[in-house]
Amino acid sequence: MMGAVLDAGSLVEVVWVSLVAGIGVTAIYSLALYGGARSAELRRRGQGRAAAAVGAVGVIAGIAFVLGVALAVRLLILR
Amino acid sequence: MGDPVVLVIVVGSALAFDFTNGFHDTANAVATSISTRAMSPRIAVTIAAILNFVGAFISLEVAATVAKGIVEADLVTPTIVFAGLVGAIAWNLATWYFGLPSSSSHALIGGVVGSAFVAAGPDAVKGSGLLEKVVIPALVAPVLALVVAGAGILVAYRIVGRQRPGPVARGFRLGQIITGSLFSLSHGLNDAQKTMGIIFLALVANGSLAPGDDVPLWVVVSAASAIAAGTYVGGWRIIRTMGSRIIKMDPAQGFAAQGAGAAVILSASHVGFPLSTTHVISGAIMGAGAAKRVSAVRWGVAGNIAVAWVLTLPAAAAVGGATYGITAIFGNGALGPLVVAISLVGLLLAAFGKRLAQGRTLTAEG
Repeated sequence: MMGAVLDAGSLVEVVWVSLVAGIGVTAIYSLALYGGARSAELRRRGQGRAAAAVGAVGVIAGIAFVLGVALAVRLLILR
Repeated sequence: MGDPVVLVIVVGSALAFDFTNGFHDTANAVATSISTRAMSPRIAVTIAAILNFVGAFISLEVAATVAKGIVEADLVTPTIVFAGLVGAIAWNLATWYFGLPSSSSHALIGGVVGSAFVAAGPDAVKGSGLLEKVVIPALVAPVLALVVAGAGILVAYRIVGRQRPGPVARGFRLGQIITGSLFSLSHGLNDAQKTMGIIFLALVANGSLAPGDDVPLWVVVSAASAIAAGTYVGGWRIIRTMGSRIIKMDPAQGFAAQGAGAAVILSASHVGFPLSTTHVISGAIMGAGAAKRVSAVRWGVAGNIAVAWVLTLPAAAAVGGATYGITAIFGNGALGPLVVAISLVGLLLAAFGKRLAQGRTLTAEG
């Protein structure tokens, strides 16, 4: 019944894209926060190298989040 | 040329619907941010109102038909549209009164379906269109958002669970401002265009514009202003339901719900699958709560919301149909819509006049 009135392919696409994007955006932002919080903690303990490495992960995740938001705005405008 | 009185009534009703759409749907963008104290209520609704206004200008690819593919377009008259708008406004006000989030788009579709049904009989309504554009999306949206937000919050807890809560909570609050802004922009872009489409259609039906003409600037500005004003006024009863009555959420849950909601809405929009923002964000809030602890969700409140969703289409259709029936008593001219419009304005003044005279916010609780 559903297949008769709806393109099943588009439904499947919505489901998997939503899952990847939704979980992905939360995971990436959480990683950015983790990088920031953990690197500050490591710096306080005097573990500079480890702090820099974790901080870099956080920065990369932060950049990925910003790019994701930019992509979302682009999708909105160009839909 | 059509009747200018009917045109003025349809334009006024469309802007009134746009205003109710704004304050009814404010909660979608701001409820979680207010609940987790990412923003103060006034700042949250101000940002949402501005972004709704901006969103209305981003694209003028106006969806030129109301309930496209659901009712026979050739049969739709300005009076049918007016009656449909009355049905949608009535349902928006009723659900706001009870603090229940529901889809303004489905209410509008329901109103037009009901008035078209009464005006032209069952052949005016396309059952397959209703199934494709209302029923299936209404089933898919909350379940999908629930699963995405639930999985998202589990991942978030896994990643940041052992960090100091203070900085992490502040970070998630900041993220909520970003995702909430995306919601507001998307809402202004999508929902203000529905009103522009209605007014544009009325102008074409009246002979004031040709179908290929551009949307006049006053239509864009008035639709953007109405939805922004409605958003700024804020439907506080619904904000309270979504922000604190479904679950008591922490900043991570608020971010996961909004992030998942934005992802689902944008994915669906990209593929052209019509999902209701209200259904998505409500499902996402339930998912973010249930993933932490199933009993954290107040399922009684969730059940009331689900009942409102089921009733949206038939209730708005019933009011739309009844409104068309009343206008038809006065013939096919402007008298019917005029009598109904004046009666409704009188009713609304009687209902809200005392509140306004006391200087209270129109949509505040109590």
